[in-house]
Amino acid sequence: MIWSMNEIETLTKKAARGAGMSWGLAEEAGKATRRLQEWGLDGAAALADLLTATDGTARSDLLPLAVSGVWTARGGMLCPIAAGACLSDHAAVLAEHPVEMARVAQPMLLIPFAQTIAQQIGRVIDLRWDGVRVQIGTDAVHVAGTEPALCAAVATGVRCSPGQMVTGRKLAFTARAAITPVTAARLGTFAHRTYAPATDESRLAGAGAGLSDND
Amino acid sequence: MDPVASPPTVALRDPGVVMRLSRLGSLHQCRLSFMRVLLRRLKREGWRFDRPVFHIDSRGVGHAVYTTHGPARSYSLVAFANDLPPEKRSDRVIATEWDATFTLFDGIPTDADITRLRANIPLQEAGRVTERELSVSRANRSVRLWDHVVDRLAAGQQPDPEQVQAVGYLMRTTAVYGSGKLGAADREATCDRPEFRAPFQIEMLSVYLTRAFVMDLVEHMAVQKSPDTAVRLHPDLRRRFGIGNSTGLGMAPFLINHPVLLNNWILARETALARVRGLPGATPDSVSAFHRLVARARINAGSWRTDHPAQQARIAALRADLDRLEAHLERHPLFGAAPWDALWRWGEGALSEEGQEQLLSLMIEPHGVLVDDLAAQTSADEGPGFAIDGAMPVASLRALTEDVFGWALAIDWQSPEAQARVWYTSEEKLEPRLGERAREPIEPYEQPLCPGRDAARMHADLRAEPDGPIAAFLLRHPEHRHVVRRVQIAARHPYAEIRDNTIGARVMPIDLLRAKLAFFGAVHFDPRSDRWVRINMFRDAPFPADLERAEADDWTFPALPEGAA
Repeated sequence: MIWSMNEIETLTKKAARGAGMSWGLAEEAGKATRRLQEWGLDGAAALADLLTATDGTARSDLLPLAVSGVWTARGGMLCPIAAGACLSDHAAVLAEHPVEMARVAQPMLLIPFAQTIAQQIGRVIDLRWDGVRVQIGTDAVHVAGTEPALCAAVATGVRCSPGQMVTGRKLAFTARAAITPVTAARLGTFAHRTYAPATDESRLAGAGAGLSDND
Repeated sequence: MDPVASPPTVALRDPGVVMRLSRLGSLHQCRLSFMRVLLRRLKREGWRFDRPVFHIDSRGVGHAVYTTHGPARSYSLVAFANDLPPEKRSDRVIATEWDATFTLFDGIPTDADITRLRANIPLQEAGRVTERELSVSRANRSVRLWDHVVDRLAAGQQPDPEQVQAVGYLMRTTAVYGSGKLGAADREATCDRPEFRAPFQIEMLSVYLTRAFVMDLVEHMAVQKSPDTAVRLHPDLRRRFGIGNSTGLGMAPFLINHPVLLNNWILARETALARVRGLPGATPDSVSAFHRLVARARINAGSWRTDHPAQQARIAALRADLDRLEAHLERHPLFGAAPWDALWRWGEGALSEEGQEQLLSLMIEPHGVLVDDLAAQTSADEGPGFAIDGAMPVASLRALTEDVFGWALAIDWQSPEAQARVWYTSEEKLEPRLGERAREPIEPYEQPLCPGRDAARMHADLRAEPDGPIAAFLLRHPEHRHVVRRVQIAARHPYAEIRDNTIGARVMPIDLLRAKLAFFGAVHFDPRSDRWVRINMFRDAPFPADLERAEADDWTFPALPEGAA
C-alpha cells in the first residue's frame, strides 16, 4: 500500500514508543524512518525488524556504554536509534575524529542521524559497514554496496567519519512510501501497545461528549 | 502620516502573560486568522469559481463538484451527500456515517477519480485516498435548522431570521483532515505553492467551498420537496449562514505537538499589537473605523450564545468590557501621543482576558497596511528545530529550563491535584482522551502532553548533573530527550511553550481548542463541555460567486444596522 510520509512518521513513532523507547527516542525513530523512505529505502521494514529483534530486551542494554573508544552496548548489540541519536548529540566530537561502533542492529537506520550531523557541522559524513559505504551530505545521500548489505540485520562494525568525496549511487527523493502489508501490520502491533483499552467510563467521560448531536 | 515608517518602539508582551491557558482560551479571530488570509488572497488574485457537477437526487443523495481556478492551479471540492438516519448522527470520531463527506482534490477530477472517491470518501477513516487528494472531511446537519429552512423555502417563504441567528449554520464539520492523513498529500508536497504557504489554507478552502455546497443543497432539497412553490434564500439572509464545526479532544494536542508553529502564530499576533501600539498617532480614518468596529463587536458579543456556564460568564464579562471600552473612548478619544498604546495600557487594567484579547483584534483591524505582512510569518519549517544541540552545557540547559518552565518548577508535582489527569489514546478508533490518573488504569499509556511536569522532572536530574555537554546527560537519561528538545526550541522561540499545567485537576482542554480555532478565524465559541466546542466559520462572508464584487475582508463582525454611525 502507498502511504504518505506523515503517516509513516506517525506510525513508526508510535511503534517505537510501543516497543519501549522513550518519547524523545521514539520521535527520532519516526523521523529517521521517514527520511529513509524519502530516499526510497525501506526504513519501515528496517524499524519493524529492529523492534522485533530487540523486543523484550531492556532498553538500557541497547544503549552505548560510553562514547570513548569503540562504542558497544551492554547487551552486545547497539540500537541504531539510540546510537544514532547519541552520535548526532556528539556531532562536535565527530568533527575531530572518527567514531567506531561494534555490532549495530539495522545499521541503515544510522543514515538519517549522519545527515543531521552533516547539517550541524557542514561536512560530508562517511558511514561504512560490512561492504557498504554511504556518504551523506546536507541534502544528498550516495550509496555504494549491495542491497542486502545495506539492509543487513546486524553490522559487525560501523565506522563513521567526516569525509569529502562523493561517489556511488545518488538516492532520489520520493514523496510517497510503498509499505508492504506485513510491515504495516508488524509496526501496527507495536503501535497498538500505546493505546489504552477502552472502558465505559473513558468512552463517555474521556472524550467529553455524550450529548445528542441530533439538534 | 505614514504608519509603516514608525519604528517598533513597544516591547512584545511577556510569554508568561500571553501563554497562560486561560488567556489562550480567550483569543478571538483577527486579521491574521487563516480564513481571513485565504479570502484576501482569493479576492486579490481574482480566483474564479464554478460548479461543473451537481447530481443530487430527491432523497438528497449524490455528489457535486465545486472548482476554483487560481493563477496557476485549480482545486475542486468533491462532495458526497447522504440520507443519514438520525440514530447514526454523531459528531464524534467514532461515527461511521455522516450527512455529507468531502475531499479537496488537487485539480479537476475525471469520472474515474469520482468513481474512486465515491468508494472511499464516504467511509472517511475506513477509506483511503491518494496524493491527488489534499483533505478529507465530513459534516452533519443541524437537524432543527435544516428542517426549518427546507420547510420554509419549500412553502415559498424565507426562514425565520431569529432561528438562523440562533444556530448560525446548516451543517457543521466534525473533522477536516489534511497533511497526509488517510493517504492524502503531505503538507510538504504543497507548502511551496504560494496559496498554501500560510497554515491550514487547504482546510480553510475546503470549508469555504463546503459552505457554498451546503447552501446550494438546502435550496435544492426545498425544490425537490415542492417544485411548484419553492423559493431560493434571500441573498442577505443567505450570507448569515456560516459553516459550523464541532471539535473535541482530537485537536487539543496539536498546539503542544507543534511548538515552533504555535510560536510563529502568537509571535505574529503579538508583533501586530506592538506595531499598532508603537504608532505615534491615530489617523482620523483609523479612529472612525475603530469606533465602528467596537460597535460591531458589541453586536457580535450580544448575539453570542452558549449553554456552558464558564463561557456564559466570560461572554457577560466581554459585553461589560465592550460597554466600558465605548465609555472610555467617549472620555478619552484617540488623540495625543501614542494613543493606541495608551488605550492598550488602559485595557490591561480595566478589561477581562476576553476583553483584552478582543481589544487586540479590534486595534489591529483598521491597520491592515501595517500588519498584514505578518501573515507570511505564521507558517513554520519545523525541521531545523528537531535536531538537539548536544554540545550545549548542562548549566545553560538548566538556566533555560528555569527561564521557560520556572512556573512548572514552582508546582508540587507530588500532589494529586497537579497530576490529576492523563492524556492518552484509546484503543477504539484511536481517539485522544483525557482521564483521571487516580481512578483509571491509564497511566502506562500517558502521552507526552505535559511539558511542565516533564521539565520539572528533567530539572531535578539536571541539578545532580556535573557540568559538561548535554550529550552525556542524554546518554544516561533518554527519558528526558523530548524535553531537552522542547527547551532548546523554546530558547529560540519565546511563545513556543504553554506556560500552564496541562494535566492539572482544573485544566480546561477547550482553552487549547479555542486558541487554535481563533487562529483559524472561528467565531461564537460554544463549549458543549470542558473538552468539546462548537464554532461558526465564514458566517457573513461573501460566497464564492460574490467574491469578485464584494468586500472580501470586512465580514467577521456583524454589520451595523442601517442608519447607525
